[in-house]
Amino acid sequence: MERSADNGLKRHRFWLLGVFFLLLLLSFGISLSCGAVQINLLQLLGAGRAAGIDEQILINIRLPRTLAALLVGANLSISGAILQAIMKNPLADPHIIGISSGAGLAGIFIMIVAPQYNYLITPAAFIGAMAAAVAIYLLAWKNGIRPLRIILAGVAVSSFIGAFISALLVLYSDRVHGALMWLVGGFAARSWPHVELILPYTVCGLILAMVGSRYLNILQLGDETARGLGMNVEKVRLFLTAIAALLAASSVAVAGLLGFVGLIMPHIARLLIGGDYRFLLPAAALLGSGVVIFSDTIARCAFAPLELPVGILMAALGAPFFLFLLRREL
Amino acid sequence: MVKKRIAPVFVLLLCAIFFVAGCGKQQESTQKGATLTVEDSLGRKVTVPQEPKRIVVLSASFIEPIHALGGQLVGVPNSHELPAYAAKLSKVGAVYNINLEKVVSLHPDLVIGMKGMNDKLVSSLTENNIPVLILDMKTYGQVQQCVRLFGKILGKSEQADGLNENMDKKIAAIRAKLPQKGERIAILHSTAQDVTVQLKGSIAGSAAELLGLTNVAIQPGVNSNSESAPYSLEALVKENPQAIFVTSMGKKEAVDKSFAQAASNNVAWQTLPAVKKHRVFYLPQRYFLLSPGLDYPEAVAIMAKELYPDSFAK
Repeated sequence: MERSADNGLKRHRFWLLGVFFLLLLLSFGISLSCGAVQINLLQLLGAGRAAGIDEQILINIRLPRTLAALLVGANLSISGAILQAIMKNPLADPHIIGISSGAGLAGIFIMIVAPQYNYLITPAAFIGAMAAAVAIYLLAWKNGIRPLRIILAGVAVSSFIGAFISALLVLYSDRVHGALMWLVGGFAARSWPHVELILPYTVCGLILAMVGSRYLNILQLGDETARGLGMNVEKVRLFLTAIAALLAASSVAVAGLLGFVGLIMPHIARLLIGGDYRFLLPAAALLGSGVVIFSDTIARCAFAPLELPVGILMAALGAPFFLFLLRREL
Repeated sequence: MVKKRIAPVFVLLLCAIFFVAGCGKQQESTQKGATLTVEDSLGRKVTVPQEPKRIVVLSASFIEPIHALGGQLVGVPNSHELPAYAAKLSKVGAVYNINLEKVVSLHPDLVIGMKGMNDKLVSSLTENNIPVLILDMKTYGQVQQCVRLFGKILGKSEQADGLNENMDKKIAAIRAKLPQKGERIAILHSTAQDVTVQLKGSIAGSAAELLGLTNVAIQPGVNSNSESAPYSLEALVKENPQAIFVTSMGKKEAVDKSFAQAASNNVAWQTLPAVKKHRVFYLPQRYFLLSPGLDYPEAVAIMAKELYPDSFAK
C-alpha cells in the first residue's frame, strides 16, 4: 500500500519536473523570438544562410544572451537551495556567504578607480567572490562550522566590505553611473565569452550537486542525526558550500549582483515539488532558468528600444507570485 | 521636603529656558544695496545682490564664465584642473562633499552650485541668509543660458552676449567644414559591460546635435531630452550607426585600450559594423564628462576632427 503511494508521489514529481522543463523550453523560445528588433524566427530558419543582419543579431546577441540567462538562473537557484539546506535557514542565499560583496568590491573598484582594466571585470569579480567566501568560512571556523556562526560572519564581513563599496561610490560620485547598471545585475551586451565562462561551472556544479543531494537530505535532519548515520558533517558541509560558492561566483561574474533568484526560487520549487533534494535541485534549476529568461525577455521588449535591468523586473514579478504561493500553501 | 523636590526641577527648567532662547534663529542684517530676482535651474526664484563682490562656486565649471565676466570669486571647490588665477583662492571641499562651514565662513554674498551635485545644500545656505543658485550646465543651450544669467547679475549683459556670439561663430565655422549630410552616430558611456547611450541632455549629445549629426538612439519612445538611457544592443545593431563615440572616465589612452579589448572579445559588440571597421572614437573626460563651459567650441571641434580628420588637416 505504502509502496504504491510512494511510487505515485514519485511519478507525480517526475511529471512536475517534465512540466517545468517544458516551461523552460517555452521561455527559451519566446526569448529568441522577441526583442527590440522584430525577427521572424520561422522565416529565418526557412531562409537559411541568406538572412544577413537579422541572423547576426540572433546568433551573436540574442542566443548567447538567452543562454547566459539560462545558466545564471540555474546556477543561482541551485546555489541558494544548497545553502538553505546547509545553513538550515530559509533566508540563506548566495549573497550571505559574501559572494555579492566580494564580487561587488572587485568589480566596482575596477570600474571606478581603474577603468582602463575594464576588460578584467569578469575574472576580477569571480576572484573577489571566492576570496570573500573563503574569508567568511575561515572566520566562522572554530572546530567545525555552525550554521549560525557562518551566517553572522557573512553578515559582518558583507557589512565591512559594503562600507568600502559605499566609500568608493561616494568618493568617485561622478563615475558612479557606469557601476550602477552592473550593481543591479543584467545581461546587456553579454555574449559567447560569458556563456563559455559559466558553462563548465554549471555542468560540474549540477552533477556534483545531484550527487550531493542525498547528503543534503540527511543534513536536514540535524547534525546529531547526520553524524549518527555515519556522515562526516564538516567535510560534507565544506564541500557543498564550496560548490554553492563556485556556482554563485560564476553567476555574479557574468551577470552582476542579481538578487532574488537564489533566495526565492528554491522556496517556490519547494512549495511545488516538496523538500526532497533529489527533486528539489533539478526543479529549482529549471524554474530558476525559466524565470530569469522570461524576466530578461520582458526587460528587453517591454520598453524597446530602452532596456530595464533584469533584477528589477524579477523582483517585481516574482515576489507577488511567491506571496501567492505562500498564502495558498501555508 | 517640598524644597528638596522643587530645586532640581527649577534648575532644569531654567536650563531649558536658556537653551531654547539661545538656539533661536539669528536675525542677520538683510543685505544692503540693489538686488534682482532671477530664476535658477530648479525653478526657484532667488533674490541676489546686483554685482556681488564675494562669489563662491561649488563646481569648477562655473569658474571660467564668471571670471570672464569680471566676477570676484572668493571660494572654489577642490579640483585637479583649476585655472591659474583660481589656484590661490580658498577651497571649500570636493564638489560632491562641500564643506558647509567653510563656505559660510567666507561670508559670500552669492553661492552658485551644480544641479545634481549640490542641491542638498540649498536649505542650509538659505537658512544662513546666503542666496544660492543651482544651475545646470551640460548642454550648449544651458551653457549659454548660464552665461546670460551671470551677465545679468554682474551687470555685464553686453559682454555676456558677446561671449555667446563668439561661441556661436566658432561652432558655425566648424560646422561649415563638415559635409552637408550629417552622419549617423551613437554615443556610448564608457564601460563595455552595459549599453548606455547618451542623448540630447548630455554634453556629447549636445555637441553632436550642434554638428548636425543624427543620434540613432533618439527614437519614438525615448525621452531624448534626458541625459542617458539603457539601450538595447539589438536595436543599436539594427540602426547601424556609422560611427560610435565613447565617453571615457579616466585617462583617455588607457580607456581606449580597455574598451577596444573588451569589445574585441565580445561577438555581440563585433556585430556592430562600426566596431568591426574601427570607427570607434573616444571623447576625453576633460571636455565631455565635466562641462566644457566656454570651451564648448573646442569640445565640438574634437568630435568633428575625429569624424573628418581630412577636413581639419592643415
